[in-house]
Amino acid sequence: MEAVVSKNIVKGLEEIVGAKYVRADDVIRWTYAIEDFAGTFFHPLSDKYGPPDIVIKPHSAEEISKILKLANKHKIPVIARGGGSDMTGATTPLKKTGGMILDMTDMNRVLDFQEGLNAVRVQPGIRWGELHHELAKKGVTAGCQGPHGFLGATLGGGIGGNCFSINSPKYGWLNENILNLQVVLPNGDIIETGSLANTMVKDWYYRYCNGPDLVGIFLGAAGAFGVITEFTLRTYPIPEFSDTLAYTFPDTDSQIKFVFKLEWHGYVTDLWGIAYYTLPDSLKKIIKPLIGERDIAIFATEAYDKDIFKAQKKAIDKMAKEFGGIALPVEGLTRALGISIINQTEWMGGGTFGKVMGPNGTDTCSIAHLPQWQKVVGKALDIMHRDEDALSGSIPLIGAEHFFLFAQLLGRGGVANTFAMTPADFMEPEKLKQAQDMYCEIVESYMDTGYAALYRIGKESQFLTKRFKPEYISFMKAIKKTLDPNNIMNPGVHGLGLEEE
Amino acid sequence: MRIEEYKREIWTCNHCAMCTGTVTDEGGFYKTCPTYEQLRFEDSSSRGHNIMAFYLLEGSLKYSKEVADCVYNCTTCASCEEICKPMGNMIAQMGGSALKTLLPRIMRPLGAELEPIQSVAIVEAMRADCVDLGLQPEPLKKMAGSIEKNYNPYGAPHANRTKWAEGLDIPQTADTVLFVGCSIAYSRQEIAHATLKILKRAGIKFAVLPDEWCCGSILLRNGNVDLAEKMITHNVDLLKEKKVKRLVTSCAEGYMGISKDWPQLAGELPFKVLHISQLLAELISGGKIKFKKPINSKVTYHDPCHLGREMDIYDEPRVVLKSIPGIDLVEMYPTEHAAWCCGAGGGVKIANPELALDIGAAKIPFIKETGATVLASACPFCKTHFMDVMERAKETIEVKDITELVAEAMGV
Repeated sequence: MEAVVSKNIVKGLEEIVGAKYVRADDVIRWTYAIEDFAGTFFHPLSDKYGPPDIVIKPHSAEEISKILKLANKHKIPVIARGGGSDMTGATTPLKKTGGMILDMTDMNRVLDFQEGLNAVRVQPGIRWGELHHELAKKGVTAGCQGPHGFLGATLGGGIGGNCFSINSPKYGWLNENILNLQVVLPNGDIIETGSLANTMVKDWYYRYCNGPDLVGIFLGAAGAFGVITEFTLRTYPIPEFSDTLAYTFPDTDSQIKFVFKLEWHGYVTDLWGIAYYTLPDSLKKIIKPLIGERDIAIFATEAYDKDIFKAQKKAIDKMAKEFGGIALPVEGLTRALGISIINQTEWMGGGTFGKVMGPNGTDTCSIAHLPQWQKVVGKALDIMHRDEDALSGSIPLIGAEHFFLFAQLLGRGGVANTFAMTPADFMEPEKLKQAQDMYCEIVESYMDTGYAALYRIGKESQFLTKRFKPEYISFMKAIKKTLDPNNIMNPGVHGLGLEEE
Repeated sequence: MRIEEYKREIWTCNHCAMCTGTVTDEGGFYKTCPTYEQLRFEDSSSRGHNIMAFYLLEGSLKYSKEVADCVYNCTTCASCEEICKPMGNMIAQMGGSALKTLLPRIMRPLGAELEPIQSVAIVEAMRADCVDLGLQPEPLKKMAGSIEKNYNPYGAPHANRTKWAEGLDIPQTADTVLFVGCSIAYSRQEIAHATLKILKRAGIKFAVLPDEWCCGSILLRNGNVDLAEKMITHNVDLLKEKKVKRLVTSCAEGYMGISKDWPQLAGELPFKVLHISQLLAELISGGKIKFKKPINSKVTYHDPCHLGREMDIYDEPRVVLKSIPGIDLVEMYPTEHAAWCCGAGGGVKIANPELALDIGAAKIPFIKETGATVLASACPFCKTHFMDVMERAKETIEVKDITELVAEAMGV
């Protein structure tokens, strides 16, 4: 597949950012033709995606402004990309449109931190781990710890992709913590939102002022309406007291009621739940002799004061007993091992996915309100059990089963997350096709229960957008047409920016 | 294509970006790929290489000079593999580097794989394809030519290999052989002399073999597989003929090559292999080495990639340095499993010397932050490279091998 961008355009870009930061050779084009496999094992195999024509590394909003003006003039698609950890093809060009990728990872500085403001202003190319490192020096935390160990991901990508995070039950999602944005609009204008819209404000950060909340339309938009070049994020003091606790419950209903109450009272920082009936037989054999056929909630709780912390844990224990909960002695163990479920290392990405979950393990992660959860899991399990043979990339850590399903993960407001791993064997095309069909069927089943699809907002958003109300789609299209009449901004995300087919 | 062998690995990589610029205080990493930190485009990262390999297999991308240039910028430091180890940082947090090394060995017989994606092996396979297609960078072709002709990469005659030992009366037969290695024999003779003096004073009977050839590691790192096999076969046959029971080397790359690569190509070795740091730690704890002269300096230790990440030797060099009276050993951050590469490895110093120096220079702030006046290492190639790095940066930090510090403190 040949690059379609002319030498003049390359020259124009080189004049903007410098020749060192513009690449249009085949090696770079194909290197940027894939993101994280985990959610989209389709795309390297499908005709849908292709390589970019050019990759550019910008260093300022002004450079991006000039790039967008040039792109508009020549009607070239522009895709802003961070760590490339997206799982939905959000930052991979469509084969039929091609385009230029803005690799934002050189815009990775902490710009401003003022003690007492509880906010930090950063560039979007900063990676999660680097932000934690910088904030720890100031004795604060961003609350959100990032997308479950994928510390190579950037915050800009997290904003564009509506990133869910470790600690979201307490601190909310990343985008709930955004105060101001600086955005380069498709026409090249650079705007600032919230308090920074006022020319007299230089370093005071607040979102809800100076008119309507215009931040929201850029969050989760995957660059469809502009390129975010700076943002302000809330910060929090680091809690001095923290423990990992666990309880078992006689059934999922009791477990869910406990989780709801725990979250309602603000006692939970992060929580993982396991429903016994969803486990593979190999794990059931290990768990049953230890705790019986009971469901587990394992969670972290934190406080800033010793006495409050003690009282909080006492209240949690009382609450658990109310629903038949029995404490598991994990507190001392995790403390002795120096680990916690809220560590950034919770997942650690890397080979954990490929080697432990099975080659090309693909997750069908989606979110829903907690009461829906059992229904959704039931359907997913039915599908997976029906065609187990298709999932041949086994998970050696937990036995012979070919799939794994994390039962629930809580977000603030009773948001549950179902995480079904469907590792496929790419060496056998027939099995791979079966696994892909199963993947689609599981995601469709999620959507039919009213799930909002956390990981389905990129160019794999067809599962979601076909369920949108027509008026909502019209409204999004109207915004798109106003801001980006030439459809240059990441065409294909949310089904936007493509000519009617 | 030789990368066919790694098809499963190439497909198993999820491209999660952990190997590209990750910082994790809990895992001890401050950024990962030294080449990516300099060149900043994905094609200079491990993930980028794995994606290139994917499209080379799939057929969309063809081998070319541009592909070769990219894959030969990798120092093969294995930092990418270290951060890729499944749940590696959590394991390290629970039990340190020792548990991280031990656990995969315990889990493997149980059917659980805790190995990372073999990114370095994939790069080396891509390089081997480049060699087959004549795409290897010219300086490395020249290096391979020198090894073929002289059995060393320095272009010096084979006869000069033991020139450093002239008049020192070293036997050519003994149960223990000091495998000197090309870098020490031709470039860093001071390490050879220091090692020799220490071993003699400690009462170790050892031989040096004049017909030792290149260990083959530099060839394997750069894709010259067939030539490496020739070197390895010669060396193994020679050592077998001499009925050697123990091989000691002061070269980190040689130690890795002999321990890891030789058995793969020549089968199980009939002798024990030790890095000098292991032997020194043993001799010190056994009271065979006595120090007479304190070295009153603040010292920081650079973990050679091929000794640390590749061979899990982190403790012994530190035990040695800490035992020297007067030395105040101060750790850099990041260190041990997350230590930054010097920049010289994987043929980068030969193929792209400026990049190698830039990578090395990027480590200077970490070294200076410790306040150390001496940078110690346990690899002749790291030493040479850091001397070049310090010279270019006009830094006064002294670069020394641990054998030199030990010999100095022993007063030999």
